[in-house]
Amino acid sequence: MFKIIKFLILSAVITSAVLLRFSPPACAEGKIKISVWDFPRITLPKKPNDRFLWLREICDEFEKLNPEVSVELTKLTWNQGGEKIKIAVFAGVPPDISSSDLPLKYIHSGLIEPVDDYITPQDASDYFESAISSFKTGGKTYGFAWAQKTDYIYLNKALFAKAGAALPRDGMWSVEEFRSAMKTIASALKIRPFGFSAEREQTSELPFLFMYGGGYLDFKNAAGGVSLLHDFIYRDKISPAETGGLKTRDIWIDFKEKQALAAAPFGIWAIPALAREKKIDFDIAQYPYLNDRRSLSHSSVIGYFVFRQSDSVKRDYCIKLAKFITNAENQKVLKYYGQFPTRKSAASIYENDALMKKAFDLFEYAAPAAAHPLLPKIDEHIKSECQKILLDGGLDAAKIASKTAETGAYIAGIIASGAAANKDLKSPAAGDSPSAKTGGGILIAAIFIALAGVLLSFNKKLSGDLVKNRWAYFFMAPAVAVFLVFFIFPLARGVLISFQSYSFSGGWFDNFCGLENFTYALNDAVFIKSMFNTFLYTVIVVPANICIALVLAVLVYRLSERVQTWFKGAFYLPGVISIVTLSIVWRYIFDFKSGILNAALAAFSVQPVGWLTSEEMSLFSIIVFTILKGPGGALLIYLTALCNIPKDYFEAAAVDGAGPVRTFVKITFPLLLPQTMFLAISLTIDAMQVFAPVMLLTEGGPANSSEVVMHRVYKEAFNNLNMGAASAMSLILFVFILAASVLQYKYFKYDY
Amino acid sequence: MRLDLKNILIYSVLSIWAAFTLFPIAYMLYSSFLSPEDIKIGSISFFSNITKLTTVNYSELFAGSMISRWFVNSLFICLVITFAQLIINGMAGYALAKKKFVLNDVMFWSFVAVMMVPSQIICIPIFIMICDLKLVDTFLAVILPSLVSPFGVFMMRQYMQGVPDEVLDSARIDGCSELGTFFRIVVPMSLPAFSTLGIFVFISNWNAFLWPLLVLFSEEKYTLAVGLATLQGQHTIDYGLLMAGAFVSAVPIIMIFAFFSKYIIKGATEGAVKG
Repeated sequence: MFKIIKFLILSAVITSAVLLRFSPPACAEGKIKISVWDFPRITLPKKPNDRFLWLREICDEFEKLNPEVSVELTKLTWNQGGEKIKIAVFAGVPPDISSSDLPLKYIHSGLIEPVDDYITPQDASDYFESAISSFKTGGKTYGFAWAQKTDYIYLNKALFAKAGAALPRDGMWSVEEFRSAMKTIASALKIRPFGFSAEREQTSELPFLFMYGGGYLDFKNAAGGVSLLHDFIYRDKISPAETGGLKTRDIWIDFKEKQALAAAPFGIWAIPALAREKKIDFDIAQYPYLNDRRSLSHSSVIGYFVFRQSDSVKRDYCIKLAKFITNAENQKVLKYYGQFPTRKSAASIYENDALMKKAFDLFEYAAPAAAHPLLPKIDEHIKSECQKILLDGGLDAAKIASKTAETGAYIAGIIASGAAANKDLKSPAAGDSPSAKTGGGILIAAIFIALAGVLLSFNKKLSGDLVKNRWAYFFMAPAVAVFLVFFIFPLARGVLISFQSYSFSGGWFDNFCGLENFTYALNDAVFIKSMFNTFLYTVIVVPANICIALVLAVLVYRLSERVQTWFKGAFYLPGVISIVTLSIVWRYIFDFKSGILNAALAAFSVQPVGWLTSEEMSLFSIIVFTILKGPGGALLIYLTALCNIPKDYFEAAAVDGAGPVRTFVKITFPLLLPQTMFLAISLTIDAMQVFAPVMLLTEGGPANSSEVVMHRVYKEAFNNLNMGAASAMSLILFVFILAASVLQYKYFKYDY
Repeated sequence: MRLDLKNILIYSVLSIWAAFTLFPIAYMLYSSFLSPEDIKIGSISFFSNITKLTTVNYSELFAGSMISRWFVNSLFICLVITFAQLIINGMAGYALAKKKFVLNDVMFWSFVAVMMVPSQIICIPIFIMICDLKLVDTFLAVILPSLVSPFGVFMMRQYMQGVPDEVLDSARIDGCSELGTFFRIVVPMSLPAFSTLGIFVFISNWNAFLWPLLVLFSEEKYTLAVGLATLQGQHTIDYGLLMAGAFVSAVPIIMIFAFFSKYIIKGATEGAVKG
């Protein structure tokens, strides 16, 4: 009994520790709590490891000025941070203050506070016109502009000098001057000197892309720009052949570390980064111009904005804090970020920096990029189409034009449908009645209880049993409760959601839309592609895993105990190590520029392969990764089964003169059929749900060539916040998984 | 053992495969000690500059990221989940194995059936539920859905069926309460199963990625796996740092594997068809 008491006390202590630690920190009595979510933007020289010190200091100062306020800082990361804000807003728990470029999507949903009342005429005249106007929409200002940025072409002076190519005068050049300089370098140094990428969410290639007209919202007219970039690769041969699959960081490594590129576009952030390391003698130039010199590069403005507040006192403080973070005095930290201030009175921070000054002069030729609530989705589509075109050397101008027109039409469709159904992201402040939300839950619970009651009152046997075997039900209770709440119930809800146009603020049974989500999924070309890829992945990975495991098991089985243990460990270890850990290693091994695989190929003077960056190889590389991680578990299952086969069988076979192959085919394999069947089913279920390797190695790219269903579901659910369609997609996958399991079950005809 | 051709062939096949599977791990360890310059220029250094090893990646990792915090978070979450799962799964497994109640079969088969349901199918509804409960960005959001695993219930039931009924009966005759019987007789007799399950639950939750990624927002609440996946700059990627992080995250697993591989290997084959 004593032990039980001890145990109960222990669990009580642990439970309370959990609750204490993870209930929201009690806010100081009477203080107004403001939550600020931001990215690690700046490192101050005095403490280079703390990437939030600058913001913490500003917030501390604000707290000192306003003792009744306490600021809580949530530190986001660059990777995933944007998604986090989106999800939090969707979930109805947005931060009070955050930062990005103009958050149009939230503004259209009425989630952002207008701040015009807080901008005095002096403020307004102190802002650069381009900066303040980019935080205005529909006649109102929705936040305080803080930093301006744009992209430049970075030039490696040493390579230019070596090839005798002319640097652009004052940083300006025409397309022809640019092209001839690149060609000069290409022929003199035998390199492809101009690097760029068509990565998602990056802007540095856009000025070329839209040089001959067209734009994000008007892509059908961008054929000229697409052809120009295509020509850079395949006709002029001034850009690397694998460009379509590269990311900005690949270009960055080539430009900075290997000095293999004479020119490449990067954001303004690269100026301090390159200047700091002093490795490379560089200069910057504006993007080349066609005829007139207006709007050569795309600029964007980052600002701090305030999410909808219901309490007017808190709203006041929030807006004041956002303004405080961005005031002219505090904008001076921008000199450590390498971006331009938005206030004229802070413009002097780059006085002593010749390059930044030149950049600021060239900034005159920059113009704001397009803004649209659906831009992320449009960007994703455009980039993946561009990657596809850039990776295909066989295209001519006419084909490119028709593909561009096709993409443009598709994007026009997205824009039109987005305007018609602005369904996601309703305002949580307005439409959020908790009763409507929990109502469904209570209803379901009531139905459950009623069902149980009916069952009990009509079934004497069961109600008697409940009393007689009360201890059995007591032992089952926790497991069944968790099981109902976190397995059965979500399964039912998932089916429900797939028939709804789900919005967080809606009730459980609102917004039914019939089969709309399913038709959306089946008409989505990327989803179809991802189904195909998942299928391909499964039919390769599952048999490969089983065969390798079987062969290894049969070989290991003959060895002595100690050697067996060693090999078991070696084969199984990658199976228990985290997929995140291994993906990181493999991303390095597969890396186009610095990966060991391409280095090994180079040793045999084979051309480098774009393991993760080419359309042909990306899925294959993921398959290789899985196969090398995979067969350990299957091997152990086979091995255990082999040890349970009586030795006489093999001896009898040996006496009858059967060779090893014959023994395997006639005896071993048939006896292992139950295990093979078990593995085939469970590995198929696993393989069809593949997610983490894709997310971590390729994010489905390039050009969706390695997209799989679960990654598509993830993006649809948590990037586009389209929960209904995502649920429908995962349900479709589930049907396929079930079908595959049933088929295998029938095929093996084994009584299991 | 004779060193004939057959044996040489077997050993070389096995060793080559072992080299394939272990290479990434060894390579991770090796490159985590390369200087940032070497690692960026790439694997040429793998062949030439082998002498230049440094721990700079590790010092930068611990100073510049919250990895020690993530480590503690992961440890805490995994311990709570493991502890809870052992109790909950053990209790359910005991009832299913040793109690003859009416719903026994129904419950057992529904647990087995759910083992077949892909867990990611239900992650969207659970996420919405966690949002409804305002639990996003708390550890509870990570812990709650992992409190029970159908596989764990199944495994405990299979093992506890081996506990002889006579022992339980005599405990009852001696006046031991139901809880007492469970904690003082059944648990000690099933310790091997508990250890195997505990190690398994710990490892799989240590490696859990998608779910913590979805529900944890702020950097100081990340688990190690999530933190590691986000460990890169705005524009650049520092492979040396990543390799060091990857190795740190793998250390507990490798240690558990080294000490408890017996249980792990046993657990891996549990639940497969009996041969």
